[in-house]
Amino acid sequence: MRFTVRRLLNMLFVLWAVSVLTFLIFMVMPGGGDEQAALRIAGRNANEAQVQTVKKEWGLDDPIYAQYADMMKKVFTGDLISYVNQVNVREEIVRGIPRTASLVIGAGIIWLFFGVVFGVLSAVYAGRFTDRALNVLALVGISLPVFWVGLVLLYYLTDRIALFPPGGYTELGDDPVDWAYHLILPWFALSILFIGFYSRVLRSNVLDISSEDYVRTARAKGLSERRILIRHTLRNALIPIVTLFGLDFGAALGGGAILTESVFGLQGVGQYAAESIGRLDLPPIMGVVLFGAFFIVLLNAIVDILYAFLDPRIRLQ
Amino acid sequence: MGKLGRRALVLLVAALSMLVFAACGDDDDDGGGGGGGGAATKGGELNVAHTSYPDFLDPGLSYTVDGWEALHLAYTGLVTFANGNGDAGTEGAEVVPGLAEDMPEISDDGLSYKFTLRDGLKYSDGKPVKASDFKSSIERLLEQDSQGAGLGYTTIKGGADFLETKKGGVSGIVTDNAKRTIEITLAEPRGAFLYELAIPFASVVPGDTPAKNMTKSPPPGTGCYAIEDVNLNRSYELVRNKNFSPSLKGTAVDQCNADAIHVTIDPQTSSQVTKVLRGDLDFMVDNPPPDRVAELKGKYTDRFEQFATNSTFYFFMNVEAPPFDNLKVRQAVNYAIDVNAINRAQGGVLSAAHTTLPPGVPGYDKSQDDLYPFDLEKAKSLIKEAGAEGEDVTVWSNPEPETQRTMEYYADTLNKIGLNAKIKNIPAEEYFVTIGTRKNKPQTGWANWFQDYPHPSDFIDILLNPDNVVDVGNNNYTYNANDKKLADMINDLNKEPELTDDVIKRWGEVDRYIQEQAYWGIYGNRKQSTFFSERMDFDSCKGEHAVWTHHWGMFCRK
Amino acid sequence: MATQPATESDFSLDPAAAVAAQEGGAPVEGMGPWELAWRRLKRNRVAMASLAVFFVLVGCCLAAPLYAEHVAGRGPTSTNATGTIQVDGKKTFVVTPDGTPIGPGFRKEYFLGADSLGRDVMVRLLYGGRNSLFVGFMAALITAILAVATGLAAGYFGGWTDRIISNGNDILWSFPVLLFAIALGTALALGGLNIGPISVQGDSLWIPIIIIGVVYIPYFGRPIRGQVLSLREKEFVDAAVAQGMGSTRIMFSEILPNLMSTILVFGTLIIANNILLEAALSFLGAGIQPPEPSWGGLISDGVNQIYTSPHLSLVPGVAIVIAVLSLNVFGDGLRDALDPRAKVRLR
Repeated sequence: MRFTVRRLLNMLFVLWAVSVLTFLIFMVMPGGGDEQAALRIAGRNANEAQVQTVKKEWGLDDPIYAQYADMMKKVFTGDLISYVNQVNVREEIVRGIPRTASLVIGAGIIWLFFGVVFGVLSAVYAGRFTDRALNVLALVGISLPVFWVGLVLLYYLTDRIALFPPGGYTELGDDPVDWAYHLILPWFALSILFIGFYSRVLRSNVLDISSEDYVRTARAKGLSERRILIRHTLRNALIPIVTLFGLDFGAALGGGAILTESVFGLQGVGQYAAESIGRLDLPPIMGVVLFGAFFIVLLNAIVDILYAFLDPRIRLQ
Repeated sequence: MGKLGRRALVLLVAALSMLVFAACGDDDDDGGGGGGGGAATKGGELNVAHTSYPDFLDPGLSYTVDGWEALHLAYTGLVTFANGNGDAGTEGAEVVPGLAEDMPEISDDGLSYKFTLRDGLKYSDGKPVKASDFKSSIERLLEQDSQGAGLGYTTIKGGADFLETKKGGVSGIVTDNAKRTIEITLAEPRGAFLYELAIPFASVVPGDTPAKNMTKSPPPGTGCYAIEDVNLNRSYELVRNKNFSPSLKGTAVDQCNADAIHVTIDPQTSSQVTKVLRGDLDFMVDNPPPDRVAELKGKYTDRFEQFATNSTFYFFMNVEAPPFDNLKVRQAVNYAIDVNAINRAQGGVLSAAHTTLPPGVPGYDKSQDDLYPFDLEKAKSLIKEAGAEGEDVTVWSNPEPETQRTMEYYADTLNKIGLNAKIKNIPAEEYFVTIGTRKNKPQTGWANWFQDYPHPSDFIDILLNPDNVVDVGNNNYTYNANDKKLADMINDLNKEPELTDDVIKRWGEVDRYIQEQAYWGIYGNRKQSTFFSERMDFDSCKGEHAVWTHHWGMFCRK
Repeated sequence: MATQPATESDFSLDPAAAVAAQEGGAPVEGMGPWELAWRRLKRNRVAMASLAVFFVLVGCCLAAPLYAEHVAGRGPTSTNATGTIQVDGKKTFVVTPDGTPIGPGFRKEYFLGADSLGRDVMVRLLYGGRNSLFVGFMAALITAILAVATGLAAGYFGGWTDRIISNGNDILWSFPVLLFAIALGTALALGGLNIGPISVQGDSLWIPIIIIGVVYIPYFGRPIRGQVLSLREKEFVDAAVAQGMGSTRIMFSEILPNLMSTILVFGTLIIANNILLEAALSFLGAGIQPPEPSWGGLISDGVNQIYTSPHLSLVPGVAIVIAVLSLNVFGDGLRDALDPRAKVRLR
């Protein structure tokens, strides 16, 4: 229990630190700051008087810590407003969540499934052709830039051969088949990297464990290979995979899907983040960063807690 | 292979086949019906898309092409622009009566404009239009420090004071609700004023409309469409105005073919092109991406064309920032620019230009074109003569792909003629604000201007009048505050109340003078595309317009 | 084996060698772990070929100025939008009036085609490679130095040092990596970095180097810390402490050498990851700033013309894949060579 509480407190501390860091980056770094924010809100032809009015209205004249406190308050009350188009940040994020979630959850299922399947296959056929072939595929998979893969897919599979729609998103409620149809390419692009990575990790875990003493004992006892694999080896080999998956899934949900979303025009939270950063629009940036950090930290904590639960050695510390 | 292997293989095949089935999913055409051939069909609903939401859906505040394209359909001023025939305007659109019965009575000294409103005018909510509403509409825009405040509304007597103090109203506007008269008195004559009454800034909204940004719920208007269902940053609807004033029927304001227009946002122009091809979209407001233009030009001649807009794209040169204080250097830059190169880099979306005024604006004189024919050698020698070889130059730019490419060409060209140029990128949102701040001393960079109304002062006065150089919020990026001669020429011409042939000729001479001073490196007028879905009637309902770019009310289906 | 009582001058820690010497045979030289690893690596032909590919790639990129001057005849930023060249004896536009640039072909100029400004894609690819590889490598150096330093300190000293460093890592780790890098990259690209005496221009290569270097510190630092924690308990550390060595010396002369294999393997992977991250950042405009070419930047330049001139975006991507793949394959081989246990079979 105490461990959990400590973990949660740590989580809050980290989130707070992330918010301060974000604020500083955009307020204090040259190129950001109050003057620029005021100019951006006031518009192209603003004169000095208009800029001053904006500063007062938006509290851009206040000292830094006051502005920070004010912004944090707005985060919790859901009143964060963009500098550039006065849109409510929370609404935008809420609107983007189902899209990002569709992308990441779908891709997550795919990469976990294929990562495990390929990893097990590679381990079972270690040293043989299947293993070598899968290893090559995995290596290529982790060497591909995600956004480039997306572009290549777009070019070859939506234009040269019009097999898939060229980006965009259909609501799940409107038409589930169309929804999936639009997401197939993005799912594929996002998962390739992870499938490669996970299959290699799983392969090496399974092989390591196979040479452990308790497995050798089981073998000596005369248990069938398959039984050993499933009941002993896999269970233990999958634990680090689950950990990794928790972390990667959190990271993807938190912002790792930016590139895929942007290339395919899915307009999820990631794309919103990329656009806001490009415009140096601090309120949405703060909103999206905290959103992302929250998921990463939450999943980290869950994974740690689960780990402590599963591994008695840690619990007893 | 072992049993395990086979199982895994089966799973894999199953998974893959699921994917394949999903991929062969529906390819339905979602585009609406569209009836038989023959004459243009009025009515029905159309789908239109922007790449970004209009800056404001409030006529008193919007200052973008996107915003005006939507707003003029719902809001009307005392006067408005004629609709033309939908084919790219060869003459500038003329000013015709809008809410006013007739063109105004203008006094001889050009200081007084008298209008009478038509009888029985009402807003889209059914409430009557009062003459005093015009006054409150103008005051509303001044009170909010609207970006349009800098246009001629401060020339109205009391306008400048009201803008500063926000007290006392605009004394120069006197209205009589019973007689439906409006009398505007100017502090000094202004030729562009009539045009400035036709743009959305001066459109009439109810007197009780609050003086704040009404984008989320736009006020009722007098146009034949009304803006409804505003979903900020996502979409809005233009729906036929059920309370359209009978007295406006048959006038230029009465031009709404479709019953409703659904407007959505899609930030990717390439995806918009695909949607138009599939019929999910009927019209895209922005240009298709340059690489698809070639394809569209070749394959879809029955629903794609380009026309020149009244816009000027140019490189500004700041005379307060050496080496551009030297005339020879500026002239060298002009000789060095090859507009054909830029045009190609941008995929053929520019018409080559060398004059300050684009061809559609009165004052443009074709015979004065090309004062500086492309000549790299001459440019190099001019730089040598000016002693500016090796001078450091910062080229200001923003990361938007077309701008970026043009500026890379420009920087390379400056390097070719002997300067030492480097690009400095600023986010697009901050770009104009940053180069418009005097103390930043931007040496040279990119700029463009799309006309507000087809009058030469819209270009020359706003963008080049030395008296308009301020410290913050400039539009005059040459910062030529010391050119008294130019200031006098422009100020005199501004006061001419009418665009007579002589006045037009004198504006042309100002244009020529500006070119001789080489304040700008002009390179193009932007071509706008008209690209329709199949069901739209391309031959009779193109809706191209000299001021609004496209008049959506003129769109119709086959 | 019998150990002969030896005189002082014959004292040797390697009895087998001593015996062999005494028996008049050739002195048997034992091979240290590094030599063994190197031998294993050399035998792995795939890994060595991979390394060779990477070096060839680096070499080509370093030779960019030579290529530009002697083969292509133009630099990476030199435009030529209205020029013509001879193709199959016919005079062809480098960029058609419509804006379509020429594609790849076997010729000296425009070997990989041109972009819409008439610039030579091959030249830009090579110069871009210089920038991208330089950033990737230097950032990895920064990550390695900082991660090892903090990992050593946190693992060895424990207590408050560990708490602070681990928390710092957590915070860094929790920041959505890509968002963080993009945010920093965009903000710094604008105004540069000005901390005290250090002043870096916004478009300098050092900005993405520092950002990418910092972002991966937790990724590298945690395993290092873990290893240090377990190494700390080993006997040779106790021995060193007993001998009166100071902490710093222990860390650097006892623990650090044992970390080397981890550092090498991770280092290779980090360089590979850096190249990918730099490409992503430059693609979004938050990495290497134009007009300096970079592979990610070249891809982003070509995005709007993907349908008519796909070579603009495809080619730089292939270059990235080659670079990263060769590093990954070599990294695999390196790991196998340094840790022979990996060759276990299941059956």
